[in-house]
Amino acid sequence: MNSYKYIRVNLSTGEISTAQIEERVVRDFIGGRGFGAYHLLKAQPAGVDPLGDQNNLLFLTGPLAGGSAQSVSRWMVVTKSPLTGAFARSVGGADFGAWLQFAGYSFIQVTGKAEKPVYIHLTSDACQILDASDLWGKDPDQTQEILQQKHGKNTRSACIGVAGEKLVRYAAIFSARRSASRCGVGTVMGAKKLKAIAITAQRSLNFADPEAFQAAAKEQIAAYQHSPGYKAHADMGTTDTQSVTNTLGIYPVKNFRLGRLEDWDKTITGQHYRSIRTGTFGCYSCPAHCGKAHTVPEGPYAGIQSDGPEYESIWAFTGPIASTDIYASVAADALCDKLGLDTISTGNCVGFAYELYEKGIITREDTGGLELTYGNHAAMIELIRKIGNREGIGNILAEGVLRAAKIFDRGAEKYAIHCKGMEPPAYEPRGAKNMGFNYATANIGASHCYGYAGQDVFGAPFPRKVNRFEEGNADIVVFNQDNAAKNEIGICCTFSTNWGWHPDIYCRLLAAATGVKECLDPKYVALVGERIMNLERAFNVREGFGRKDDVLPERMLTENLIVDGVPVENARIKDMQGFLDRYYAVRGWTSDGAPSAEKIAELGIGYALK
Amino acid sequence: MGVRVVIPESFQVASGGLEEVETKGKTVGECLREAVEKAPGLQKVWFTPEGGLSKYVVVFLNNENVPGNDLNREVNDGDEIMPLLLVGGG
Repeated sequence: MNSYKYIRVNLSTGEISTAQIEERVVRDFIGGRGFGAYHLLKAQPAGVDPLGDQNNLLFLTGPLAGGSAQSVSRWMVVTKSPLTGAFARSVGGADFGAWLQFAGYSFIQVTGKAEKPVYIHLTSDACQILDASDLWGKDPDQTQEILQQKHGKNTRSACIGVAGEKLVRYAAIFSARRSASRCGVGTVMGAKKLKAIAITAQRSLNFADPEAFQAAAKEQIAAYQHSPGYKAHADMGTTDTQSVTNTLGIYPVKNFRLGRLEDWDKTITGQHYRSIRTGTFGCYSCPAHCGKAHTVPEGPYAGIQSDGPEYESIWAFTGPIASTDIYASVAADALCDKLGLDTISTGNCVGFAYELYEKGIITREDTGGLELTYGNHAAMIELIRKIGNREGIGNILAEGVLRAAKIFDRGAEKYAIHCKGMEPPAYEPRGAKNMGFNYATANIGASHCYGYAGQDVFGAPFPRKVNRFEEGNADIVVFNQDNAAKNEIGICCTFSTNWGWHPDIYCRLLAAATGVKECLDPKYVALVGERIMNLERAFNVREGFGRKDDVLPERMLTENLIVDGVPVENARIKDMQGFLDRYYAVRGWTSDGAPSAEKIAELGIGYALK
Repeated sequence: MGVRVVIPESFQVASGGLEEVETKGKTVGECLREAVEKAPGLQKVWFTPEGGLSKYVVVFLNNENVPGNDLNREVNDGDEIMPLLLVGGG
């Protein structure tokens, strides 16, 4: 572990080689997302086709993975997104990150394209490209089970489902009961005909200072035991966030027109989901087990089980179609997992289709007879099946809302809700403006995880209190984004950062694991977060992205959010361009949204851009 | 001058729209209970039936987390207490 090597696999040529990460890169970017941003930028020129053989697909773990520290063994995929054409980063949980460390690698870099379905099998002393003909067409659970039967119980894998094989642009990558879902990372796997990566490894650690690591981990564990945040999260996971967002009127309903679902408090609260909960699950070395499994007890979906839904998926299959049927949400979530779809983009595409149907832009002829009327969850389930298999209208919606709107034409583009081509998560930007401006400026498109605005949602008073309707808080958006990047150096679970462990502990863990003493200084770790944000932005600038792309959908700029039938005062983005001026100024970027020469020099990352 | 208990939006349905309460308590717990006297709807969202703090609440004092939600933590004139609702995020 932390030998700072990575493995390169070219699926076109079959070449496999290992390489050492440069010392300077280790010091400047530490690990995880830092390595991902640096190496993707270096590995490929501008303009490559995300689904072509030149696009690189990086599977990364963080330097803290596999040890006794809690909630820091996640894994990440970095690539160029087929949904946005921009930088992509998507994070998953379970054991895969720890297994990659046990095998002795910081990341796997996959390039090229196989001619027929393959999977990669990695151990600490070997790597092979193997035939996956028998796995093609299998769902993620079946695939992982087969790989474990083939390679033994000490095998963990990350794989795609049928949606990835069929190049649905928002396909996810699954490992155990978790997934890296956003940005179409599974689609890139499918384009490479790479069904899975399986790692067989024994626990093996090589921290720079194991004693210091252990001491910091002990402090972290002690902090968890006294943390109300930890206890609440262990109890409910994210299955009750909808109670907060509905209360605040920021639960997107009917394709981001309304901010509250009618009768939500009588139908879809965390307690309703708890009533059908049938299990819990978690990630490597994390006691929270925040994953909550559900089983439908009765009705048309009786017997369907799902490893979820969590908050985003609860929303994805209720809000967009204005349904309060929690059983349907469990069924839709289970179907997405089976097909290998990102639930957030899927829910948005479904909601988009329902609005087009309401407006008469698409008809029963387009939908293959489906009545896309609000509340009709049976039609939603069928639509998801069509998307995953690229059947009928599903073949169009599989392109994501931006491309689908262009195919439908007839004015559909006005109703395509996205940033940079990626569909947004379950927080209404007009009532949570710091979250919304994060969507607009995030390098990966509309993602809450890229800069979660806890200030808007929970009233979190750090770094300071804000009014969620104000548009002047560029510093807050920058803080949230850089903070997320900082936490993903060690690929640390974002939830766990609210579980009472002091940020100093994270810094000490990083220093002990990596031997980079600068990490003992929280300011240095924050600087690395800022470096990452700037590198990712530089990647996008090289691809032609700029100010014109840092925008929210037209609906957010022209219509007030409606809650309980009433337009909410101030719940409209009034000055997008004014916000960008402030945001770029705080970042030290040019007025077109590019890192300035001065900022690049200040961060010491000029060499990464050559 | 007393201790201000700020009621975030997520609790304002329970508080009947009340946004803050000036209290005279000497501890975090006393101040929160005074706030509940002014807005009884907060009782069931802040406290358990046994009288302890709900596991879905985390208390901030002057914008800093109160370790272990210690209700016996002493407060001073001019302090600000803010209980936040704890649910997972997204």
